[in-house]
Amino acid sequence: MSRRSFSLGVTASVALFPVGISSSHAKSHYESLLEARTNGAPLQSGKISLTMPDLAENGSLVPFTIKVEGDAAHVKAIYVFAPLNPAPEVGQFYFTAESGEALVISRMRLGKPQDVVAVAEMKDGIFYTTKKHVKVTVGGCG
Amino acid sequence: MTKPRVKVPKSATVGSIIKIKTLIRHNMENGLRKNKKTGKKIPRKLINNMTARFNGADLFRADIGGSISANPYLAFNAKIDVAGEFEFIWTEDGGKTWVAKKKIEIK
Repeated sequence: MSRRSFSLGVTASVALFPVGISSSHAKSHYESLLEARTNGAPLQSGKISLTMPDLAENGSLVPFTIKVEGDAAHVKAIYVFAPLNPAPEVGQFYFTAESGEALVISRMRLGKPQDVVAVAEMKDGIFYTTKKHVKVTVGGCG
Repeated sequence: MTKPRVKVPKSATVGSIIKIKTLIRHNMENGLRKNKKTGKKIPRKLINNMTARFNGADLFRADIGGSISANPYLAFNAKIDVAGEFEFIWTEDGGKTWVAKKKIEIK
């Protein structure tokens, strides 16, 4: 092949794979939603706790309790995800200094066994995360 | 018949943190359930927000969706420095709202 057609071929193949692609798989719906909340910030461990049963007998009604240590004045929000649910974002909970301590208790639907994820966004821009694996006997999403 | 219920202590000492419990009866239709007789999907109809205020100022806000169980229960804290009134507002897709109010005294 001529030198010109070889270099055109090389240029074309470089253009198809631009520098910067870091993931080797398409983002899941959950991953896109998490990124939208955190803007890709690193998620540290600590400060946030997520309490849920090890086994949910009824996937329609699975209790959860989330707390963030310290004064609620430092907490902007808590984001909760059930990554394998049809609606992976369970809720976003926003606090004020008047909250005292950041706490939210509620109940979620779980369609199948999975790691439920909780993320705290602090007012200083730091994110903390924790997760809890919940087994489900009867799925509760529909 | 979706009248919300709220539990707030009648009084609290200055600086104490109280727990507020709220419950509203609502099917939280996520649009995935089918009518067993017709086989048609039941349309999505969700409560998407609950906002709590104290003496007119925002206290706590919850944005929720189809992964929250029917009859949404939400409990959260409030630090009490003065007597006053809580207001709780639930909003459904389409804009319908329900409101509940509770007073608290200082002991």
